[in-house]
Amino acid sequence: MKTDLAHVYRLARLDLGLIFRNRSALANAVLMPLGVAAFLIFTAREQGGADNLSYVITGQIAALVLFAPLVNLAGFFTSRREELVLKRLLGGPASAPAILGGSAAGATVVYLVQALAVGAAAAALDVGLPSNPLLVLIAVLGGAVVFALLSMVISGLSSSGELAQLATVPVMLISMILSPVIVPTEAFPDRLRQVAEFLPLTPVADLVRAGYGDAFQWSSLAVLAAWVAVATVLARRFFRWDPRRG
Amino acid sequence: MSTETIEVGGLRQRYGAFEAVRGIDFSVPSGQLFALLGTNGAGKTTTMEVLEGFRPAAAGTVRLLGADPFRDRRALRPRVGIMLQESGLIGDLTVSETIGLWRDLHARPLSVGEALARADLADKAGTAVRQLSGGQKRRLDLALAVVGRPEVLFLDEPTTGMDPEARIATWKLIQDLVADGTTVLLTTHYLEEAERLADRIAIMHRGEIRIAGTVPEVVAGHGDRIAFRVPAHVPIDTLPRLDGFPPEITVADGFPTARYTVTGGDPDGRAHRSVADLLAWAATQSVTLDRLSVRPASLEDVFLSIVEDK
Repeated sequence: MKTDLAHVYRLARLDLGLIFRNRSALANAVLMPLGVAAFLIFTAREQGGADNLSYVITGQIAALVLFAPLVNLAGFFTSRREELVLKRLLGGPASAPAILGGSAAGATVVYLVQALAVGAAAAALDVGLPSNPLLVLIAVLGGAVVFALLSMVISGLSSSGELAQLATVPVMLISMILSPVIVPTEAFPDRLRQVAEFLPLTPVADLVRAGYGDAFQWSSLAVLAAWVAVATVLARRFFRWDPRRG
Repeated sequence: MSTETIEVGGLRQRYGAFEAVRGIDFSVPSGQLFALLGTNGAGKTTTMEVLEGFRPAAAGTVRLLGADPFRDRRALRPRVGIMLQESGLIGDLTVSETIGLWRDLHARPLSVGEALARADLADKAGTAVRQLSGGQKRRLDLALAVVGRPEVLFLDEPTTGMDPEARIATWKLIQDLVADGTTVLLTTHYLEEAERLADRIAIMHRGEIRIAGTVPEVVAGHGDRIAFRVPAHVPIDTLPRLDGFPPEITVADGFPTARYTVTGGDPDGRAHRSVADLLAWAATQSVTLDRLSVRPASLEDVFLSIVEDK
C-alpha cells in the first residue's frame, strides 16, 4: 500500500510536469477551461443578480471536472495506450491501480487548482467563501473520481487520443446543458428534470452549492456514490492496456 | 526444491479461434539464457507475455521464481525486468529523466549514471526520447529493464534496429548480466545472436516447440551440407543422388548450384562417404566441382528446415 501510494505520487508528479512542459496540454487542460469559466462568470455578472452570479460560479466549480479528469485524461490514457507507454509501465514494478491512479491524481490536482481559482474569484466577487468547505472538497474529489473512471471507459472504446477526446464531447454537452451548472434544472420539463437529477455532474454541482450554503441533501451523496460504483464497473469492463491497433 | 527459475508445462494460449501457443514445455535454470526462436506469429511473444504476467495461461502450468506470473505479478514485478518488442517510451522526457522515473519506481535501483553507462547512452542523457534513433530507444529500453537489478530478464527482440556496434555492446551487457546470475529469456530473429548468447534454445513454429536444446544438440542429426556449382554443360538430371537423395538446385550469383543434405546411416562418416561418391562421379563424368563446399548443418539450416516444414 505504501509502495502503491509512492508510485501514485511519482506518476502524478510525472504527468503534472508533462502538462506544464507541453504548451498545448497546458492550454487545453489548464488555461482553456479557466477561460470558459471566466467568460461564463463575466457574462453572469454583466447580466446582473447576486444569486445568478453565485449560481454560475458554484456551477463552474463543478463543471471544471469535465476538463482535466474527463477530456484530457481520456485522450491521455488512449494515446499512452496506443504508444505502448501504459503497457511499458505495467511491465514495471508499479501496479495497475497505481499507474491509473497516478494519472488520475495528476488530473485531480489540476482540477483542484482550477476549482480553487474559481473559489478565489467567488470571494473576490462577493459571493463569499464556502460555509462547509468539506462538502465542496467531497464534491470535487468525488466528481474527479467519477469522471476519471468515465475517461477510462471512453478510452477503452476509442482507438486514438483524438477520437477519445472527441468522444467526450457528448458527455460534456449533456452535462453542461442538463446538469445544474449554467441553467437550473427547474427550468426543464418534469421528465427532463428527473433525468438531469441522475446525471453524474448533478450531484457534484449540488454538493458544491451545499458547501456554499444551500440545503444539503443525502440524495446527492447517494447519486455520486452510485456513479462511482457504476463507473468502476464500466471501467473494469471496458478499459484496456493493449493497443487497439493491429 | 526446483532450481528452475522459469517452468512452462503444457502451455496453451488462444486469441478467439486462433491458437497461438499449442501446448509447449520448457524450463530455464537460474543464471542461464534461454532463447526462443521462430518466425513472426510463431507464438514467442505470446509465450513471453504469459511469463511476464500480462495475461493468464489459458491452459497448462507456468511458474516464474516459483510463483504464478499472472496471479502473483505484484510480488514478482519488482524482481523482473521486461523489454517489450516495441519501446513504449514517453517522448517528452529526456533519457536521464526516463531512467530517473524508472529508478523511483524500484526499491534498490542502479544509479542513473550506471544505467546510462550500461546502455552506452551517457552522451544522450539530456536528449529528449523522441529525438533518439530506433536503436538508441532500444538501448534505453534495455536500461529500463535492468535498472531495478532484476533476477529475471525478459528480452523480446532486444537488438532489432541496432547498428552492429550497438548490437555487440548489447550482447556484452547481456553476457555480463548472465554471468552475474541473472536468468534471461530472449526472443530474437537473429540466429547469430542466439548462437552467441544462449545456453539453450527452442525453435517455435505455429505455436509449438519443434526442437529444443543446446545449439550443438539442436543441429545434431540434421546432417551435413554439400554444395557445388553445376557446370553449364552438365544436365541437371544427370547429377548423382547422394545418400539416396537428389540435389536441390538453387541459383547463386547467376549459376545453378547443387545442394545436398546428407543425413543417411553411418553417423561418423556420412559426409566423407558422400563426398567420396561425389568425387568418384565427377571423375567418371570428367566434371569439375567448382566451389565445392562441405560443412555441418548450421542453426540456420535447422531453422529453415523447420519453418519451411521440410
